[in-house]
Amino acid sequence: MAKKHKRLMGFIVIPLIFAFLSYILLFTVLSPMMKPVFSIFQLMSSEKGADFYSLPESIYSPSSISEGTVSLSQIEFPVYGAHYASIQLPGTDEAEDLYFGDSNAVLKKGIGQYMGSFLPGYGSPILLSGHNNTYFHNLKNVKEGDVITITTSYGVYEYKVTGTAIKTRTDKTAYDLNQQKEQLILYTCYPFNALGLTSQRYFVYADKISGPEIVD
Amino acid sequence: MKKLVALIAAAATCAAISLTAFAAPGISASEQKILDSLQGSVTTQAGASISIPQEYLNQAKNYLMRSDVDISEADATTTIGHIEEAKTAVKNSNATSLSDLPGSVKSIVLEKATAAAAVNGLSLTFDASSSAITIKDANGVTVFESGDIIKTTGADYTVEIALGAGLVLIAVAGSVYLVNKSKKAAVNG
Repeated sequence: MAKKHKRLMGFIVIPLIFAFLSYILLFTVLSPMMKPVFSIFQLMSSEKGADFYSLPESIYSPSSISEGTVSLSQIEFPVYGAHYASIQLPGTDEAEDLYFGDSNAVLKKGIGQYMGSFLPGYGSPILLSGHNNTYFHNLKNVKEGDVITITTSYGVYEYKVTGTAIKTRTDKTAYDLNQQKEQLILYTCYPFNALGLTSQRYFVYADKISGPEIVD
Repeated sequence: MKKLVALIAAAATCAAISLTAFAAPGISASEQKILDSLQGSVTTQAGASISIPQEYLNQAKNYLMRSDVDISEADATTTIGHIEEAKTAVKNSNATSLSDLPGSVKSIVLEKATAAAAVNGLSLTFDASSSAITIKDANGVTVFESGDIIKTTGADYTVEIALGAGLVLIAVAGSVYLVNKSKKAAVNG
């Protein structure tokens, strides 16, 4: 029995302890140098191609207009990858940067807007995404009745949460990009603590309650 | 199916995108004609109805709304011509769905899309491995992209876990080797 115990300690327990301590030490010391290595490994193992697109300059300058109308001619329409607004979830102290486009490069910097959806104030659906371990970390705490604020360079918009849902990423009933009303749709990966990629998404839906309407 | 939708959408959307010397915000009358052409569905010889996905139409609309994009009547006519040629190719096929459109039709759609892009100062890229179509303007900025609407938005620690597991295996293997070696030394000694 003592021999078996020694073998267990010698072959399993001690190596595990040393491996764990080594990993912690290496991770702490070499983390800044290892991040590019991890990125390369992820790139090699990823099914998607590399995303080397560099983001354009920010066009964001916060407005304070919260009602009335704003002419389309007064709006600088963001190009793909441009930081054009900020979004604040209820219960958070800081707003996050909102970008037009939702590439990997964008999602590393902030919240991304799907190009097939529309700007706040246009009266059409807005589809936003963010990583569940960074900029949409608090999305799981948003509940019905909460108010989400998007500040653009041309107006401040508020949206009241109407519900949430968990659906697969390929479920087209999760969003309606053809609807004729301004619905804000936010999503992030689910479960929130998953260690790998998941097929499910956590959706939050909100209807516009204030903000200037964009007119021609 | 995705490839064909992307091809058709790219052809139509490319055709919808053009630049002129004039800049005006919003969608002009000529640009609206292009959107109207894009929004119609096509009925094939087999009776199947095929239309461009809404998300692709929205991207075209977003682009046309920009103040630095203004399509003249002449350019719109040319653009609509390309759209209609692509739609005719699909209409004349016997496909019952996008997924079984013949390769020749796919080639026509891609050809129309590429030609429309070049005329309007845009470049179209088709990635055969992913069936993804990307359209960029003269500055290299993306103005249209096909593909998944819902993106990957979670943490992926699989690489770190794999490396950590590798360290554990190395440590276990190393300890087995050392124990066996010390045993042999004890026996021989």
